[in-house]
Amino acid sequence: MTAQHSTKGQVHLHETFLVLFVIIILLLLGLLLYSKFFVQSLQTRAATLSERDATVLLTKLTSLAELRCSDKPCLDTSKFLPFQTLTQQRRASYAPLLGTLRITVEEIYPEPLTDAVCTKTLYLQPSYPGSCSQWVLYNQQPKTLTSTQKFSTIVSLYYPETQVYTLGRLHLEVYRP
Amino acid sequence: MKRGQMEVVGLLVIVILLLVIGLIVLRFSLRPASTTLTDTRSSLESTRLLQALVLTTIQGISFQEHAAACSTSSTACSRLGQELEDIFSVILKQGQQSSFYLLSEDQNIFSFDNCPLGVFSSYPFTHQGVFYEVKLRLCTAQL
Repeated sequence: MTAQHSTKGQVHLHETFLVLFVIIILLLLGLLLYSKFFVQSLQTRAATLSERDATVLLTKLTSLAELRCSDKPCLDTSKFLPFQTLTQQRRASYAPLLGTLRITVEEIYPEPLTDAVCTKTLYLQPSYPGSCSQWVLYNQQPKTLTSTQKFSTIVSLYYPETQVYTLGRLHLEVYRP
Repeated sequence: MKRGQMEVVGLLVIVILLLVIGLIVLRFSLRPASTTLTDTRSSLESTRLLQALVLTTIQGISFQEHAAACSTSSTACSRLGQELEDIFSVILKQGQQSSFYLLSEDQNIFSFDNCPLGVFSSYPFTHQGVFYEVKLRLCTAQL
């Protein structure tokens, strides 16, 4: 009789443990799924916010007095090299405004004869604006880099030397530390 | 409570837990993706494109002068059409469809229509006292 009771008790105990085990497994599964979707939604939100920031920054850049034309919605190419120098000299002032990113401009129409990056030497050549077609306006990398996001927009480029308007693309490469 | 009832309650708890997990999965997987930002970006892009296009110097003549010539001569319109084809082939992503309209005093003087549905933008300008408007519709693929 005592041995039978003991066996019955053990079976009950096993049943309880089994139910508890199943419940814990289900709870863990639920937690795992929830955390997976939570992280996924956070990543999506981060990407959306980053894209929104970049859109705002693109708009901000095209309206910067240091870059834009005085009377028309375009970028003055003669201001590009001075802006590059200015951002290097006053890094402390521009870093909070622009952050860690690379800003470049490339001419796309008419199709450029060269894809050289504009420098003071190329700017002073008689063949300018034909001597180069790309400008690196700003480049600030973080100490550690995990990923980059690229954004771009169409801009009108004005060459005061020839009084010609061309089409260009303003690129933003946002560095994620 | 009898043993049988206890087991039914246990089973119910498991079913409820499974339902809760299922609901969580459904909540996250069925949530529609937000397209507002993409649409806003596309709209901004097409407006910027039109702004830039209106200023562009095409074969030594400004777009505005091309538009003025197009309002009086069909030859000028076909020349402008060829140039625009070149421009859009460079600016738009490969395979992206677009519709373009050039209006003078609310009359359509030049157009091509390859995109029936998409983000629509317009940009008005005046040249030598005449009112012009350029309109652009871009199909879903981004710039």
